[in-house]
This record gives sequence, C-alpha cells and structure tokens, in this order.
Amino acid sequence: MPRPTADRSRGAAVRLRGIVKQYGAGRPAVNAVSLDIEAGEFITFLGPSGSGKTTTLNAIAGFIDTDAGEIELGGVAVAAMRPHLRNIGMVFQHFTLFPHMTVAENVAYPLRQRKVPAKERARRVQAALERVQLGEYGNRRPDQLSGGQQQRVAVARAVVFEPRVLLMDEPFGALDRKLREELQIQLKGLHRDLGITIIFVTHDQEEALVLSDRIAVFNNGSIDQIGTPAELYDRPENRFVAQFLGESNIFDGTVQEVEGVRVLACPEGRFILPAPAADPGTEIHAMVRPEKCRITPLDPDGAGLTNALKGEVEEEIFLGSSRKLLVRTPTDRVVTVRSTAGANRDVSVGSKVFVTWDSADLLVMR
Amino acid sequence: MPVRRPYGLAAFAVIVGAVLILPGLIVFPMSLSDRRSFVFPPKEWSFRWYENFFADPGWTETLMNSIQTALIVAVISTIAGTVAVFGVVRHSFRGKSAVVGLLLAPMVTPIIILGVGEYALFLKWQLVGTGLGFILAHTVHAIPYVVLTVSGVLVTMDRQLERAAASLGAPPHEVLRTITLPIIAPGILAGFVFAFISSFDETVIALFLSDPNFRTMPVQMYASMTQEVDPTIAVGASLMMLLSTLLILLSALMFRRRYAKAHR
Repeated sequence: MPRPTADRSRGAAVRLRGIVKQYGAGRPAVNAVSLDIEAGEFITFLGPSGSGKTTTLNAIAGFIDTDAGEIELGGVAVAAMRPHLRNIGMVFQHFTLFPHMTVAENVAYPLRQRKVPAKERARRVQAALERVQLGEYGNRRPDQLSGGQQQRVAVARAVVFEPRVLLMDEPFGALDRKLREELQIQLKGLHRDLGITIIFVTHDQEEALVLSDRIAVFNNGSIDQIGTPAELYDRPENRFVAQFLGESNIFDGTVQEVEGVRVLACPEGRFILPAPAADPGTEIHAMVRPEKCRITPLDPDGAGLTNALKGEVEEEIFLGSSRKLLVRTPTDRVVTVRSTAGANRDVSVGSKVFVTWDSADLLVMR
Repeated sequence: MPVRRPYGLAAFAVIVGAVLILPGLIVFPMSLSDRRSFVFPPKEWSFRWYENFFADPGWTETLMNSIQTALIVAVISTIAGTVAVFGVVRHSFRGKSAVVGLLLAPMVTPIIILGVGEYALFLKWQLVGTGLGFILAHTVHAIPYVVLTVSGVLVTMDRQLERAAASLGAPPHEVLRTITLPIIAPGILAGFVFAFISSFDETVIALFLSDPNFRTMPVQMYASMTQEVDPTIAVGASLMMLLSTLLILLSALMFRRRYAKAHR
C-alpha cells in the first residue's frame, strides 16, 4: 500500500554549474559537470570508479575545493562555504561512526554542535534511532554492532539534524547482497518519509535502478546521460550508457541500404534497422537487450535480410524465474539471451540455434 | 572455541624477560642491606639506607630535580612533538623530509656528541647547572619519542571520521577537540611516558650540564658510586626503577581500560 509522500519542499534543490576539478596534469577528474537536482529528488550518480561521481559529491559536501564552477543549495551559493556550515547530511562507504562514543552520543553529535538543549537532544536522538529500528541500541559501542546496524546508525546521525540534502557515498558497498537489498528498501521509505533531497553515489547499476527518481551516468569526469531509470534503460543515448546499465548485446557497424531497406552491416551480419534510420554510410551502434532476444532452433527462413544470428549455446545459467543463454556466433561473438524459465526447454549447451529479435527492439545509438 | 595457547612461546618470552630484568632487580635486595657493602645477597636486612637517603638533601634534592625536570620535559616535548607530527603527517611542503629527519636526529646522534655540543653552547649561554639547561637539552632528546608514537596513531587514523564530523556541523577546532585528539590520545599518552622516562634516566648529557648547584639523580648516583662505597645508591636506583615501572604500568592500565571500554 503506498504511503503518503512527504512534502518534498523539505528538501533543497541542488544546482551544479560547470564544476571542474583537476588533480595534477592530464584529464580533469571532473570536467564541466552541470546538473539541476530538484528539491526532494532521489538522484543517483552512477559510474565506474574514476568517473568523477565521488569527486562531484565531495565538491557538494565541501571536502574538496573545485577549480571552477558554481554550487547552489536551495538557491544559496556554497562553493566557498566550509563543509560544517553547509548543513548537509553525509553517509560514507566505510561506517564512519566515532569509535570513542556510544551509538547515542554519535547520533547526538550534530545536535551538540548546534547547541540543541539536552532534553530535546535526547528526544530527537531516540526518535532518529527508532526510525532506523535501533531504538534499543543507544548505549552500545559502534564496534558491538554489525555492519548493517552501524550504517543505519550513520544514517540516523546524518538525518537527525534535519538537513535538506543527504549525500551518500556508496553507503552499502561494504555490505553483503541480502543486507544491501534490505537497506535499499528502508532507504526508499526514509526518503518518502523525510522528503529530503538525496544524492546517492554507486557503481552498482541495479542499486541505481532500484532507488532512484533519476540517474546521472558519469563517465570520464562528465555526465553522459541523465534520466529516469526507465529512460536510461529503454533509450540509452550512447554505447557507454547502454553497456553500463543493464545487460546488452551491442553491434557496431555502418548503415547500408539493401533493396530499399536500411540495415546495420556489422561483422555479425546484417540487421534491419527500425525507422527512421540514419543515412547509409553512417557509423552507428545498435543494441538489443537480452530479454528482447528469442531462441529458435530452426533457420527462420534461410539466409537473407533477417534479424538472425547463428550460433552455438556455450553456457546456460539458471536464474530462478529466468534462464540466461550465452550463444557464441561463428564470428566469435558471445550474445546473451534471457528467456523465461519454461521457454526453450529443448535448448541446452551445445545446441545449434538462431537468435532473433524484432527490428523495433533494436536500439540505435551514435 | 578452544584457543591453542602457545606455551613454548610464553616460556621463551619469560626467559628473555628474566635475562633482561633480573640484573636490575638486584638493587632492591641490596638497598635493604644493613652493611656498608654491596655484598649480594645481604646477610642482614634493614631500612637504614632508606633513612639515610631521605635524610640527605644531596639525594632528595636531586630526586626532586629529576622528577621536576622530567615532568616539564614531558609536557613540553609532548606538545611540541604532537604539533610537529600534525605538520608533517597532515601537510606536504618543501623540505618536509628534512624536517622529519631533524625531528628524529637526536635519537640517532651519539648522545655523547649531543652532550658535548650542548655543554659548549650552554656554557656560553650560562645555562650549565640550571634547571632550564636540563629542560632544553632533555626536551630535544625526548621529542623523537613523542614524534614516533604520535605519528604512529595519526597516520593510521581514518580521516573520513573528521570529514564526517565536519559534515555534521563541527568547525575544525571542534573536530580536533572532539574527534581527532580523543582517538589519538593513547599515542600521545605513550609519547608522554616515554618522554618522561627518557629525561628521568638520562645520564650522559646530565653529566656535562651538572654542577654543584643543580644535578639530577643519575649524576648523583654516578658520583656516589665512583667516590665512595655507599649502599644509599641502591635506594636511589630502586626508587628510579619503581617510578619508571609505575608510570609504564599506569599508562598500560589506562590503555587497557580504554580498550575494555571500547570492546565491552
């Protein structure tokens, strides 16, 4: 049952304009990043390590001085402001609880810094701990808690002073998968309840898809594409985004016109392009998701202009509700096909098959 | 889960410890002898040399001199050494490795060289035979101990903790007071203890800087030993040993309490 969504105006809008950060010589770690994050939005910075996502986050937090660019939080320019004045909550990858303080003292820390009276402080600490289901743990020491519990305390500590923006730097990266999924769900609930802006950094594309209102895909120090998870998955604008988000089969080639039909000519074969297609001669990348591929044991209609790839099943991976088949083509290319559990029962490792798809499912990128 | 106890290793450690410590422990029974001799073991026991020690201002004054000097040296070198460590660990600047070398140099310089050099310099400055002269010389000698112990903890400290504190609203001086210093406190305390002891039992520089107006306990002991046969020196040695041991034990206990608190 959907819970009522908190007023998103409790969050602050974040505006980045032309952020540049250069370490030493060579390519900048962050190169002219501009981004508008809405108040109350859950946005994820997704990218491989070294793509600039964490550097951008640290620039927002104030931990690094940028070489150029403007940062606005809720309409206030903060680029020159020291981190402790920015009023931003932050959760780090390694549980950064203060080891010499109890759990409650940790959560009380930001309130002490803000001179909140003792009575109100105690009340708010308890409320924050209860929000992360750790109401009973106030007197423990951080190292008496499990990793997941420690990270929940870190979240409580980062939101107890009601910041309008919460930054999270791969917060679940050090946790095992099951725990990570639990915490992701709790975080979604927290975001809904608090209505604050959350900027979440991860290299885990599944995590990004689960959590985000929007995802900004970082690559080589700049943002390749920003959009909702569905937009990025269904309409990636370039090869990097297509490959980084979800599984994909990508074919690189040039557009040709054969008997009035525009096709992609690539080493693997010739595939019909969806209309409107680029002019002949254009170099393009075309991508088809594994779940859009079908396996047929028979030659559909012999040779000619079909979206069919011949190959041999090399690997069969059982995934519960679905099955993944890796098909190696004569051109030594491995194509991934995902089919529902019951389909293609007769196909197994060693089967000679055709992989096909609808032209409309072929996604063309420059 | 049963833990395999390394009895062999423990036995070896006890033997090595005994070889190192036992010769020193001889001073305790000797200080309780009733004869004016260093015969070991003593035939009769008495406290007469303790009475002698505390009745003789030559001994009590030098003991107080030693304690006072060591305390002041420990305080100054702990502060100066800790500040220096922050400088070299947390910042990069030109000539940094030269600064580190200078900070540690007193540890590797032959102490007799330090003593001669300081003697020559302090003669000119009229610091020979003064408490100030001892404090300056011993502080130089003690700083490397503080630098080593404090840098050990500061280097391994997780700096993300400081970033976390800043993100939670703590200005830099608050981060230092509430996060950094409490976390590196064990290293600072260890540095303090080492600095105290390094000054307390320092003899070579002290021999140069002493004069009839101001001398420390090790110098008094050396003089007593070379000039007369007086078991009072065994009392002095026992007291020095007790004080140093107590200090080390105390700091070890504080460590354990912190540890126990953190791992309860």
